[in-house]
Amino acid sequence: MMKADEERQLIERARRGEVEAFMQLVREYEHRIFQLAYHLTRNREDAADLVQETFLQAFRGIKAFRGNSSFHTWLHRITVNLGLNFLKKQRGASNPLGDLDSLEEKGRGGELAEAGGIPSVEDSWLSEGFKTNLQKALEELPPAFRATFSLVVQEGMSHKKAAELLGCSENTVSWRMHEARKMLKRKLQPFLSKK
Amino acid sequence: MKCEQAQKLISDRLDGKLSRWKETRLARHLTTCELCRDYLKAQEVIQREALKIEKVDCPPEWWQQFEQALQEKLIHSTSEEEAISVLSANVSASIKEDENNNKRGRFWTFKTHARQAASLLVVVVAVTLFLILFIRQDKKEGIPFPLTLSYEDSYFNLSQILADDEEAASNFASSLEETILEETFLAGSEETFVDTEYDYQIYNDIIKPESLQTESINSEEGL
Repeated sequence: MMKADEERQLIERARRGEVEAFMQLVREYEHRIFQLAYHLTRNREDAADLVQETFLQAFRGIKAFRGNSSFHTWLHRITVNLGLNFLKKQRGASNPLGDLDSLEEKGRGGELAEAGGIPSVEDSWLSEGFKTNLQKALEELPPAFRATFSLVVQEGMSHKKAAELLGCSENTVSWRMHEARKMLKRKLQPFLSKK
Repeated sequence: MKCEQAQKLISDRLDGKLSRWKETRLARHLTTCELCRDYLKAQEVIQREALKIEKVDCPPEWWQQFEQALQEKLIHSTSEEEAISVLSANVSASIKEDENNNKRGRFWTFKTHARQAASLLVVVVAVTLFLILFIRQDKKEGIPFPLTLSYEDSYFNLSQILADDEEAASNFASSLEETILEETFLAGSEETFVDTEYDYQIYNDIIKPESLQTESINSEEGL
């Protein structure tokens, strides 16, 4: 773990355009940023692209970094913004009507299972099959809900921290979590009821 | 409490964001609502399974390649930035040069205008001087310059001439009288026409010597 003073010095050097100083910061945070990117994209290649883009943007914009938040938070914010853009593009390409209502309608009749993405109900709800379905259900959440769920549940952030990264209020985070959970339950209902 | 409200509180509880007061309310609702108890159970399963989704990591070789590729891009980005800054510096320099040229152009334009204005001023001053000198010369000769003298000046000048020269004054008075009479006759208006004969008769009547004499005689007779 890097000390605060050391980090500050590296940031200063990176501001002056020293690539090696910035690379030391990259090595410090790349794994955590990759995890976040992976939670958002659910794909290694996309996550790697997202991490690379995050660091490129951070390097270009490091002169604008004033230290109001920690460098780690700042990197997280860039990743979340890029991740949301990525998810919106991805969703636009795969599902032009990718809004909440269409997603909910799709989830209601268990059409996810009919589409062939979900294994048979006989599989245990704790089996790999359930995990796969859960991952698929998470992927199909609207981008903002998915990002919020990833930050709060998988990254273990508080509502306050997630709100800071997402640029919204804590109440919005709380509401999104509630709605995301309802959508996930609806999609996974056949497996959950079996239990 | 409605089930929708209870489910929202369940979500907040799973995120560790439920106050003690809300916790009590939720617990009270859960004791009476089977639907919400099932909902809580389902959400706990989803939460647990979501946390179990493996944390993905990559082998060290992969990270090495990633860092190398990123470093190359950063260096490329720096050189691009430098090139852009040099380019922008050149562009700004050329813009400044253009601005200077434009300023020079405007300066010359301004100078032309200044020269034109100066030329006009010289002409005006020359004309004014010429007129002043000419007027002074005319004043010395005693003849006013009608185009440049005001009414008051003309009157003053004329009155001085007439005061100095009796003959001129007499000629001026007679010519003025003639002019007035001529204009009066030429006007031909009966209303404005002066009957000199009538005036003459009245005049004669008033100052008739015989009348005076009669009075005096009468007075003498009376006396």
